[in-house]
Amino acid sequence: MRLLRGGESPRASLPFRALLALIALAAVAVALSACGSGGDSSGSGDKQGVVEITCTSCYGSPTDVLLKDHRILAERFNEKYRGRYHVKWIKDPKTNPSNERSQYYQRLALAGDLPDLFTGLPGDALTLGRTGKVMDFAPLLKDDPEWASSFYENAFAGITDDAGHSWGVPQARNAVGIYYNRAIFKQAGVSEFPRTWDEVRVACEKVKAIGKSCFAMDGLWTTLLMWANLIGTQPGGAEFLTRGVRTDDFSGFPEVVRATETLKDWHVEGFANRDAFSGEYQNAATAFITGQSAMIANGPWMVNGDFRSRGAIKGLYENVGYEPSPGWTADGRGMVVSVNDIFLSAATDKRKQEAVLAFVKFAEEQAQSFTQITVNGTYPAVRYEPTAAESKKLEPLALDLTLRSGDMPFTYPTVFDNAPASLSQVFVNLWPAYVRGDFDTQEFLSKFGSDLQSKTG
Amino acid sequence: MAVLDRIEQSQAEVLAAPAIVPARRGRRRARVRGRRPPRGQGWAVALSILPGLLLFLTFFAIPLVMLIVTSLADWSGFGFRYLGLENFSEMFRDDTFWTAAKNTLKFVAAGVFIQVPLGVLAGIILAQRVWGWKFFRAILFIPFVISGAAFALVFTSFYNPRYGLLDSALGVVGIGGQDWLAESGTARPAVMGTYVFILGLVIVLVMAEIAAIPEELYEAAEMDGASPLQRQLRITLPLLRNVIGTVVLISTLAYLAFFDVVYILTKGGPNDATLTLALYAYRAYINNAWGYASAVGVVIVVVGLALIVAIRRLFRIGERTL
Repeated sequence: MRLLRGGESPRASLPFRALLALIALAAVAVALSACGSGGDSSGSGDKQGVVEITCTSCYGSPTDVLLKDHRILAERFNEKYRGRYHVKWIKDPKTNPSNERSQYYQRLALAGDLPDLFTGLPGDALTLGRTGKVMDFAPLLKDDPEWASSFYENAFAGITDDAGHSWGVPQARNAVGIYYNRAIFKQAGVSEFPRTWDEVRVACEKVKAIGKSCFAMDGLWTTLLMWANLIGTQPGGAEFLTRGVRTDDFSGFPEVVRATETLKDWHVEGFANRDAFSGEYQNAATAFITGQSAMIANGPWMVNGDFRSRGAIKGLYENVGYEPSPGWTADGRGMVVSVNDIFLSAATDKRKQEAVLAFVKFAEEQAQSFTQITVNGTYPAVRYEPTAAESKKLEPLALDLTLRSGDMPFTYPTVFDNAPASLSQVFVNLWPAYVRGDFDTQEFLSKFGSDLQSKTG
Repeated sequence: MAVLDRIEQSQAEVLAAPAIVPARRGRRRARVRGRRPPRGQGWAVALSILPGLLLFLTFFAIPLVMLIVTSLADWSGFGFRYLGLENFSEMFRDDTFWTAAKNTLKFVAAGVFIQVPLGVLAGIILAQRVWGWKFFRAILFIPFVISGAAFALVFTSFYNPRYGLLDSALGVVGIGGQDWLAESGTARPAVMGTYVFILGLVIVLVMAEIAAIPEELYEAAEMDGASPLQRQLRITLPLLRNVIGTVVLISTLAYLAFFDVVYILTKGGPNDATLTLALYAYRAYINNAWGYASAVGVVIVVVGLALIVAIRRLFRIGERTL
């Protein structure tokens, strides 16, 4: 240790201060470099000759029920194509479908950082497709008619633009029906699930009379599913839900006016739960699983996600039925069929594109479909015919509805599948005000459409 | 005698409300001369400044410049088209913008005219060392350290018309069933109710300031026959001018950029009844109008700067009173 000489300041000497400055500089450099790190991976290195593709949805989301099987899928793919292709999963902070995720993808696209493989909603596919940053699968489907024909009809409708580009490959196609509580129906004197909307009203009056709410709604997802049912079971309804929702004024669609007024009436009559405007799915789910509401529109994932949760009343599952939507006539029933989990790829290298193609084809194999259904509760976008052994293991409510989905007079997408990303924001803002009487129906539908298209709706 | 004279003089100054000491205007500030670093040490000084400078540029200067530049453009990440002031003119023509601006002002007003006075009152009371003052100070401070988002989530349950605490309590007297957050008339007051009673910061700052007031002033006033209320009104309150100005400033800026609580509780609805400027900007952002969102951001910054200047002048923040 150097001793201070007479008259020397006890403050740090020049070299020491310079050293401090260098350390500080190095600390900043380390901090800044950490911002750009790529994240976690499976740990497999780049072996020579192996084509590696990055995948963000393959990480295995702990929160998104729809992505739980993707990790299994990636592991199986790596096993099957060992030495040829390899999927490297990257931790993705935004796996849940949301406005924020769509924005996140756009930022990644802007920075040229989109992964080789990821999943999104149909809206993401079309938005990213316009940027030219994602793969067009249309030529690949054309080259492989057998693969193309394995998908359900219209599976690509929501992700194909007017020029015929298909900006992704659908992974999930879910038949979405209406759950109902048989015990509540029985208590109210309703003998069977209503087949028409008029019968629904009669049933709801009986349910209300025993102090229960007829519908569990949340002012967003489940409410809009019911809105889709009311629209989609009319001629032209499916067309509105596919393309009309992208127009800037809904008041000119008679089927939408009729559906909207019916849905409003149910709220005014007190058929819905009291917290039906919160925009929180959990409020609708708890109303149903605690036996306070008789019906809820939702997908097959609700069985594992909610009916078997600790919050559900005892014996709920045994009392639940799952039916297609009633119709405006008895022979005009329908069903939401939602293609909402899309594989997207930003791979530009030809070999990587081949690997991506191999992966999405692998994901659509029957064996993987079975895993998808059992793990996620969602059904594949390819035609799936379970073996007798598989059928025994599948959730009967969802399987039955899926099998019936091919024979429905009306099938249609959810509002979310094709509407702009601001749908949640706009609907939560306008719907309570409309039901409370702040607007008439024409004004509401006009504003609904225009706000969806506006910059700040 | 000298001490008494001093107290009398001090008392006279205090009772000469509203200002204890006139503002020193027109005085030239002493010029602070920059010192050149010793010969040969310039590079070390520059190197020492560099990390801070880099952080300042990265996290403040560059984003601010980007905000201003992009506010003049049609930009959504892809493509950049210069628009001049078109975003601003479109914004000022948009009724929704003015709704958001009015709502924001109302939220600011609730903070300034309800939260701050309540906090000052509570701070003055607790500073008298009333029974259990430490306990109440802790209890009143706790909500301040809870994040706004967490607080909002608690209030979504509190206001829930089916199982919420408020509805259950009101149900006892037969007026339950109100959906506070879904009604245009009640949503805004309901949102205000989540924050106007968060008094912790104001209380702590006020109590600290009161502790610094010389006891002699109160003793002198007492000798002069001033009642406890008069002592608080004529001594404490004027001497709190600085800290009240500071909390008004903090409150104003906090609610000018009010976002998290509103987003979680109402998303700006119903029918824009609780829409704020920050939420308005966010809507533009999720609709891919990033340039427009930046323009809203610029307006918030400019209004914020104007309010900072106005409040500092109004309360003469920074000027000593004793």
